[in-house]
Amino acid sequence: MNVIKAAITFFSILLSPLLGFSAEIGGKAPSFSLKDINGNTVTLESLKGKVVFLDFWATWCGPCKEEFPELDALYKKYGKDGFEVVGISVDKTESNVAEFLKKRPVSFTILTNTKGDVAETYGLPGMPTGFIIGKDGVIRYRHAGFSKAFLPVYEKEIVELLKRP
Amino acid sequence: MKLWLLVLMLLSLFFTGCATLERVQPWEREVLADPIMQLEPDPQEAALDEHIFSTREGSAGGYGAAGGGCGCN
Repeated sequence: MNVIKAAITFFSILLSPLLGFSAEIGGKAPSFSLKDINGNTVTLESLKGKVVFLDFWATWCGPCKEEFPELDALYKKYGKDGFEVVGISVDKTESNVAEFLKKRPVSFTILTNTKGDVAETYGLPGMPTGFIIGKDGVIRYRHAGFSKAFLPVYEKEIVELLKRP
Repeated sequence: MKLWLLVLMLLSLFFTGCATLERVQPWEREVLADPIMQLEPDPQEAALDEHIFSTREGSAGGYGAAGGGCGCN
């Protein structure tokens, strides 16, 4: 009997990495505390009360680069209404990000997650992945990848969330 | 019973392969995303090469019609 118990325990431990703990739609957005490229710390809590588009991107990711100016345009359009775009770079080196932003400047907040732990917590299915978080800090929508066809959808969702109390 | 244990141990050893479920995650593909890591770094050039190859070899290629040999289509 002990052998069976030991076997069950062993296999449970062995297969535990199969369980995913990613951020779910309708669930509270996992909190984070990351530095921006100027070294200032930004937390998700500090953005409470705003509709946040949390965009996980990287300088080596083609679609992310395509999405960037579009997100910037959305931010410029709805920023005054309480909409925030936060780009979390998963690049391993921060200097790459700074160099990239010199060439393609954006007006929204850029944070760096060189360790990739926040990306892991959110369980990205692909690059880029955008999470649209409501004013209450709950993840309302998730978009993996990027296509220009997504833009009207983004806008509709953002407008809808901005109207919510 | 000892045989059973031995089988279990061997199976466990066998399944440790499953423990390395370390799929490269999307945010870890920095090196893999480099164009130099692609089998065909330049798809346009690869298509051109393929076209020339299949035209010259006639029956070889296998990626489409070889054409008449002029390489013009």
